[in-house]
Amino acid sequence: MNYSIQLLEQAKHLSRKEPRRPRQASLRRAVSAAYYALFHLFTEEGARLVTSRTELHPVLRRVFEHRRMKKICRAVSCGRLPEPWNELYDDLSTGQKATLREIAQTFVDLQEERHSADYAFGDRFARSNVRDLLDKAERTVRTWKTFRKTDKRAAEWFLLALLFGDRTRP
Amino acid sequence: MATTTVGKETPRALLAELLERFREEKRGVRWFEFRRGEDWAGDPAIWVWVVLPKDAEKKGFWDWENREAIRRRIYDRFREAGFEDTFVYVRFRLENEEPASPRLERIERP
Repeated sequence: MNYSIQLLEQAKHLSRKEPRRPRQASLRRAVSAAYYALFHLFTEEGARLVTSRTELHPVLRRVFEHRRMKKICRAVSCGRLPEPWNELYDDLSTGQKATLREIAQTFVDLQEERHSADYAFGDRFARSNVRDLLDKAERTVRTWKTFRKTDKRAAEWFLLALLFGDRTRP
Repeated sequence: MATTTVGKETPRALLAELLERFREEKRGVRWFEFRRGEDWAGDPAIWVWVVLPKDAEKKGFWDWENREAIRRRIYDRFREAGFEDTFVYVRFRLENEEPASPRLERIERP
């Protein structure tokens, strides 16, 4: 079973662990695991796209940065990509853009919630909020897995944008 | 209290309008809670909590299609109103669960 799926299963387990009075620690770790399920899915596939040399994958995966990935995902979710990514983005079909918008939006959403889960101790997490986030994460992983097969070029464009983001020159 | 306004529409006005629309569509939304601020990366953001009845699951309001329709409508309405640089985070909770924070503004039907 791949690592992302393991993380999603762990998230679900934690979110249901205390059926009556869920502990904040369980809910917060569930949110964090759900975000990392998506994060590691992209870093793993991004590394594989760049090279087939598996010994280089761990190094490449460390090149992905949360903030840079968020920036690109925000841009995708509102359809306003920076140069040079915009030219390739404009070539995508309406359906591809819509799917990527959903995926990007979920990524930003989970990233924000993961940050709250780890650092915002003034806030409380409700189990239903966490369940909703896990549903989103699970559906997004499924959507991505289908998308990368049916729309390979668009998926590869997205992975490269996540990896390089604003490192590229216009 | 500071008011974020883009064009003529405030988040409060937009949410009041959405609440009314969701009532007509029988989507089970009891009220909204929201706050404005910056997200972890320092970008402007609005957090909207959609509060559903405690028996939402039994009544079908918890169904993915219903949650997704609500979520999508909120995103679209804020975008239409010009909040393009503000990321809208939509969260769900049930009315019998504790609010995420005591500092949230609440939008309910008069």
